[in-house]
Amino acid sequence: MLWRNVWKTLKKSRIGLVGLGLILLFVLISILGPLIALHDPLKINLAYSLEGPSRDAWLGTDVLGRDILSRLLCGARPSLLICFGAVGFGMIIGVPLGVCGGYFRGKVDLVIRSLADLLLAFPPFLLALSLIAAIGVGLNNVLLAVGISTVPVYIRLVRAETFTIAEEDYVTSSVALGRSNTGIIIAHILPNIIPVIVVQSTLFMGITLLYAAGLGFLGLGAQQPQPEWGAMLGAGRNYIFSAPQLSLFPGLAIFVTILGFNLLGDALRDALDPYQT
Amino acid sequence: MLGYVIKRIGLSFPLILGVTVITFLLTRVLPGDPARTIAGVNATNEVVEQIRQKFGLNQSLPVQYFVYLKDLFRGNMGVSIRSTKSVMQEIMARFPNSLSLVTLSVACAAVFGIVVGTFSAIHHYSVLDHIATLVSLFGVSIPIFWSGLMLISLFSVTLRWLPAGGFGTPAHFILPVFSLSLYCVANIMRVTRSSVLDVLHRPHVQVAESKGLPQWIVIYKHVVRNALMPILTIIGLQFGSLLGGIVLAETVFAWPGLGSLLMLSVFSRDYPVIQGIVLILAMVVIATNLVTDLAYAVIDPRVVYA
Repeated sequence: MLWRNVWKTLKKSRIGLVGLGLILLFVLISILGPLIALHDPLKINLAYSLEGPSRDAWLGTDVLGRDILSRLLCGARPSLLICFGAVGFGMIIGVPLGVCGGYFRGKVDLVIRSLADLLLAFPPFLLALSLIAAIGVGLNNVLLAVGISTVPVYIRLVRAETFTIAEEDYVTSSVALGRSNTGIIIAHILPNIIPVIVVQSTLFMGITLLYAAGLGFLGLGAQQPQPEWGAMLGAGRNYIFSAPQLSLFPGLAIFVTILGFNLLGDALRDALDPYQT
Repeated sequence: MLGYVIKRIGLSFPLILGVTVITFLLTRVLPGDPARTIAGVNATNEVVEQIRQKFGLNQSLPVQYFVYLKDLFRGNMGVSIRSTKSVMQEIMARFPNSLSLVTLSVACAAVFGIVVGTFSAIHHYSVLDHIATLVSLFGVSIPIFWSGLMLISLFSVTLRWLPAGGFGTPAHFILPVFSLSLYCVANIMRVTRSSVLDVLHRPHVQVAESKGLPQWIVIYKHVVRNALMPILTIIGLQFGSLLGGIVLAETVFAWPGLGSLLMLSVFSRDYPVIQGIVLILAMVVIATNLVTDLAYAVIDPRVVYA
């Protein structure tokens, strides 16, 4: 019922549809990318180093003569896995903690809230970066570190939402009827917090992609020769004076994908929360 | 009021203590032996053992933590492995550079975001409102490190108007400040817009308008001042978020701040410096939140604190 209405509102929002389209394109490319790439993304051909766009290599080649377009197409998958994985991780840890804090209140809440406050004292990108510094570079560690940086926001959001819903009459009646806490959480709390979780998660997809690409750019994510957008941008940085296309295209890919998530998230926020101006 | 201020400051102390626990643990979750990490890969067992003794790494974790805390209290953050200078000295040499960069960026974003956001709210659903919303969504989607590189490519390489990086003259500030504020202006604009919209239809604004006050007085005195609390909150949050973003911006623009020092330290495994920078930046975030909270009490006399 709720979702049918959401779809109805979303259909009318051009911005939201554009966002959805960009995300579907991104998902499609990360599934099919390696199949439609014309060249092997890892094949080094020094004879074609740093060439501009041509008929054979549409977006040009990098310093080792690898085809940039093929590397972009193959680099979508790690980015997609990180952003879905990190958001999923943040959700699995953050949502239950937030529900427990908001529902049980008291000492449980105090502990959970303090944990969230503590993690929020670190700028999120810095938190992810320092975790990487401690546990080491690599895509799996990026997923974990970026995921952890989303946890406190989930806790805070879900806790506040649960707190409000737990005051509603239907929850009080369920308590009076002797329903168990688990029953109430599953039947009343969870369905009502889903909208805010969906909106936040969509926006988080963009943010985690941004963080993951940032870590890749700094050389802390995917390692050579694996194609990943942030790492490609980081490698292109050294040639900004001679071959700006090296940084232009990977950055454009990151930008367009994040834009997709932000456009959709914005439209979803309007659709799921019509009272907010 | 004074009671509230003291109480609010007091509430920061457990948080700061918690932060020190995390920065302490950060260097202890390292895979492998921290003494060996400090000593380097090629060190002999004797050297590793010496370092273990010297840094107290052979003691239990709680004891090590209290030693760390005691040193911090005296302003001693240890010695940089890379440069062998004291960590405090290294950090303090660069901290003002980072702080000025972030403060200037947030200030620019705040001025621009509040002005455009207010305008958007007043001319709700106009063409300009739609454009502003769209532009802000674009702005928040552009990675700082990419916009920075593209700005360098355009203004430094092609047009030769501005320096590509470095530090010293006001011209060096332009590109980094622009790319950092581009990232955070969107959120400030959006919050301003929704919060001004919310106040715009309240009775006191209608009264002020019907008294025949000039529009700019109504907007400035009756609308924006009342809409300021959420705006202040988002500005504080953006400040904190940019403190993480400086790592990227400073790397791109070769800015001699804490962000570039952090990257230098990450690659040379200079854990005392990493620990120190993370601690300092977290303290700045806590201080920002404190200032934001205190500012609430100043700008909004209705706020009563028990």
